[in-house]
Amino acid sequence: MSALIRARGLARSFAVGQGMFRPRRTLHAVNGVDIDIKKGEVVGIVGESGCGKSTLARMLLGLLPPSAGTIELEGKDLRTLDRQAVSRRVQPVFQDPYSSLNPRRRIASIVALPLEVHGIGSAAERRRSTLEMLERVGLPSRFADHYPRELSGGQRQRVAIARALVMRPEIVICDEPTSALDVSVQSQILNLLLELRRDRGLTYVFISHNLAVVEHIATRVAVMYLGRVVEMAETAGLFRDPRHPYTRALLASVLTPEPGLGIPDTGLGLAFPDPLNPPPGCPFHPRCPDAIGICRVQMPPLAPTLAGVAACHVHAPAQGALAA
Amino acid sequence: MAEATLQIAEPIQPTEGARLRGRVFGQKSLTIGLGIVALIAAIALLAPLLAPYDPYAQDLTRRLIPPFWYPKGSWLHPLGTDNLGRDYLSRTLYGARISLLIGLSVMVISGLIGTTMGLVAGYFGGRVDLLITFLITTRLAMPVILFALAVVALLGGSLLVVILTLGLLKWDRFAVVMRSATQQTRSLDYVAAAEAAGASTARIVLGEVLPNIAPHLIVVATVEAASAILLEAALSFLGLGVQPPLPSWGLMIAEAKAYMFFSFWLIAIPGTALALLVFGINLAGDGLRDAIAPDGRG
Repeated sequence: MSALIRARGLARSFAVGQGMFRPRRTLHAVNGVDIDIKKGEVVGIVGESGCGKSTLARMLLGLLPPSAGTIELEGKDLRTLDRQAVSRRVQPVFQDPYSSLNPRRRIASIVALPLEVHGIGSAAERRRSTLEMLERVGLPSRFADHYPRELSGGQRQRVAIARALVMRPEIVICDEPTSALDVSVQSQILNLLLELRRDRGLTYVFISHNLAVVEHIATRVAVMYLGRVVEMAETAGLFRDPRHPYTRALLASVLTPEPGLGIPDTGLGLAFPDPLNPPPGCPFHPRCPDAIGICRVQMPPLAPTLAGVAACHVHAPAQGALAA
Repeated sequence: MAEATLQIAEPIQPTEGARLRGRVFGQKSLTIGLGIVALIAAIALLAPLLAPYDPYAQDLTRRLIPPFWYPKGSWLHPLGTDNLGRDYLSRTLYGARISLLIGLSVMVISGLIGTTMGLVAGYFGGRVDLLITFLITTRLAMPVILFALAVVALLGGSLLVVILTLGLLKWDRFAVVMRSATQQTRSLDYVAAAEAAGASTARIVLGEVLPNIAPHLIVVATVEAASAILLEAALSFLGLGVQPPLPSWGLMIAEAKAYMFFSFWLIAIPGTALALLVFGINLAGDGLRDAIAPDGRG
């Protein structure tokens, strides 16, 4: 099956310290990401804050032009498609349902905005499909004329999902859609997303730092570190047998419900490297418990593992790399 | 007591309109401020009906008559007459027209310029922002009074020149406030969601950003209107604003300055009117800000 989204060498850098008389520095938020997303998949993207997850999401949505590399939507370069064409196929659900809904609009008007922008149907038809969509995400139509401030976080996130799906897109990019919600509401929203995927054959890119959530929803997981994908594998395989030391540390950092155990030790330390000045070689080597000499000089390529690919000289050596 | 409390029915949810009314009239300063401004606006509109005399009609036989509370005063001219025998009440009433006209039109002109600049700078950022910030800084470096004096001295003073000069000068605060408010709003996810929905830039700026920064706009607009009214009075006082015989409060004060030791009311009456109007506008602006603030996060 061909890829719905195909990204090659995707990179995005930002100029930091912009001003008339200040020196400019470059921050590489995303640095050479290759990713294929197939129809019907749920690709989970995990990593610490600042690893470039959200920048990647914005590029896939076409909100942010990549500074290098290409994104293809079913073989067509995203840059050659206009915003409207992309928006019919790819839609976002954002993290914070408090800032993702315009506080001055009523719920129905928020959900109907994409229909309005694309000039779909008459006002009455738009109203009808908006109400249907709200009903589908579990909001009775009496909410339609309320303002976002009158709704709870979970209800707001349902509105955001309704807005994303009202145009019947194929791909939904969820940027931490549950991390601003209470735990009890999180599972409701996740189950809603899974139901909608089944009903409508949706493809998700699911960004999260919550590994339990990703394990629950994703079919494939990409682990990002400092703007790069360091390991990508089928969900079950990745959780059973993580290859990259960073993936292992992430899995070890999941809090257990056992109160006596305290916060688990990841062995990583707190020294998240300065993304303005990344370390040479493997970007993870300063925090890696297994680092060897070559890690400090040479960037490891993504090499095949049992369940997918990983970039590590030690645990996923490329063919002939150790011998050299 | 406990039983009595238990009997209270559950509170009735106020409607949206009732809540807004409660916020507006719950604020004393807003009510009083709006009341003063509404009163002066009504006077300005109804001046021809209210004024007992033609404000331009001179009567040299009845010069410098004091107001009614002086022993020499008469109810024929309740606020007395000026040095040319013009009825002071009529002139003061007509003066409200000039002040409000200047306040409103300067606010609209400078508001349009400043808001557009602020929205553009805040939304697009980057080089556009650098350029507009540079323009704002340049404008802030120019002293308004001196600049306005120079322009009026070159072009000659008239109501239109004063309005245009002040309107084209006083956009700085609009631009500064709108720029930072736009920057804040622009980074919110609902703007990104509208972009991802394929909305045009104009639609996003006017439909998503502007309604959310309107509260700031209202507050700046009131402050600027008050300051424009004061500036007009200052320019007229210096003889470079509105030209005689128009009944502008600033001009009335200027004309009266030669008589201020013997006919104090000539300065006190337009001065009080001016102070009252500016006070009312500022009070209303303060109250509006407070009335809008409890909205909080949305």
